[in-house]
Amino acid sequence: MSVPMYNKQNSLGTPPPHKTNPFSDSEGPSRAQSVPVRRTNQSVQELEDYAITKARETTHKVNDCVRAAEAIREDATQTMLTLHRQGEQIMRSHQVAADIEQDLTVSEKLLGSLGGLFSKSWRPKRNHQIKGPVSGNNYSATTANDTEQRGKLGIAPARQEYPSHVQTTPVSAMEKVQAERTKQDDALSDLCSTLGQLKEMAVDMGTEIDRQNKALVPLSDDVDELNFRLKGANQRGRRLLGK
Amino acid sequence: MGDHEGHGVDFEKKADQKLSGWGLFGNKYEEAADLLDRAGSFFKLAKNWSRAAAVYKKIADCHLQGDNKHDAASAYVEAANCYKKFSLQDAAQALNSAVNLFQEISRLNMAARYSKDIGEIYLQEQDLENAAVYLNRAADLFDSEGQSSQANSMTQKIAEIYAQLEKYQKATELFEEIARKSINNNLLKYGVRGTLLNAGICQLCRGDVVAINNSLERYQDIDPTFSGTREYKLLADLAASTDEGDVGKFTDAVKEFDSMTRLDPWKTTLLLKAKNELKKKEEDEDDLT
Repeated sequence: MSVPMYNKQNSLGTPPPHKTNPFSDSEGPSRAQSVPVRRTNQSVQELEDYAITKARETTHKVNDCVRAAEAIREDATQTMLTLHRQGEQIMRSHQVAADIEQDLTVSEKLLGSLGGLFSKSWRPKRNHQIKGPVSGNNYSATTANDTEQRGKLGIAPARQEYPSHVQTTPVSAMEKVQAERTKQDDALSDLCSTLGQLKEMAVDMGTEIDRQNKALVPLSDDVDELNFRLKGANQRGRRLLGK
Repeated sequence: MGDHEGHGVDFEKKADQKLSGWGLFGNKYEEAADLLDRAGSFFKLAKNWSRAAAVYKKIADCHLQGDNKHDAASAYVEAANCYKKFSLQDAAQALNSAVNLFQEISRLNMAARYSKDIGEIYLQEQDLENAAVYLNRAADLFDSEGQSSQANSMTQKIAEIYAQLEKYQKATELFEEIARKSINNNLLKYGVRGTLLNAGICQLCRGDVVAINNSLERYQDIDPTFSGTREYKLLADLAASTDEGDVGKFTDAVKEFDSMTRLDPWKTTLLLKAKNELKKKEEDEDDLT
């Protein structure tokens, strides 16, 4: 039975070319084949060290991802606060517009009653009734017990329990790699829950922006109507002063 | 520069003449206020802030004589802006006059805004007691105007100040109140875990382990998802380390949390206080043995 070329190379102690990962089987035979034990220039110790280093690198990268996700979550939380404030401002602006309309109605009555005995009576033109803001807080309609009820029903997201790490110092390389894997699992679990929350936040942001867009339409209409009526009142005032 | 100053002085003199003369036609106070306003603008261009501030205070007096409180309040605000360039204390006083006038004419939103400004001035000056007073006033005014998000952010600041003043019980109550208000709102509920962490840290500074553990249970009632957060884990670990009197464990818990979410200066300061208290206890126990 002829020994393949790469086996000969390996037995001579020269590693196969372009092979960065000592665990890679891409150039070797399929795992099903029985391969004679081959000596490499890398000792088991070196391979174990390599495995541990790689595991630590992976842990570090996963932690970086968690860190980034957390930073995004913080920013998103601030954005939510800003959106809430913006929603309130829209409501307030609309309320002020409604208040201005009441004052304008009084002014129109006064302007109508002014003028000489023979002057033509003046009635202000109106396109539509100013309604003012739609009752607020329709965007905060989550019930406090919702999560609790979902939990009782058995559909709440699984609560992330933090494993109580009994700090036994790993001895063998395998244990060290396993410890790193546990850390990675914890970090990925964190990442998963943070991303889930980010998705929820994105949905809530979308809903709120949609609500604000809808609230801006009647506000815009009411401001246009106010503008129209104010121009009419100014015209009446000018006419009276011109007499 | 000198030219601007000269123009300012001229207008101020004219205004003084107007005030000392007889106002037969028109309102002498109104006319004097107009002249002083122009003088103030020139003093600002000349960067003579003290003179400009004095002029704006005169304008406020003129408007008050003419019973025009809104313009008087606005003049006090202008004076405060000038005072800010050289004397924050005087700026705060001028703004306080403006706030009182805005409240008198029911412009509560403006009053709230400027109360907040006064609070921030006192914060800058490290006068935490006064800062808390004015921010509290701002929070009440914002609340009465239906601006709950602004009121909440003021309350948050007040709670942080109380914690710095070592009034931990009051701070904890305020943070918990904010959390309760926020949890039912789709937009604010995401900030609850941070608020509860702040409340927990305040409890920790009191050093009462039983109270801390009770709080953790209470926070679970406020936000059922809280026990799955890293904030909860941090508080639980800190409570355990405080109970055991283990400074090392305390430091490790803080370090682990900070490696993911950087702790802000306020939290760092309070956690350091808690750690020092723990160290003291540990040293006292060592002395006894």
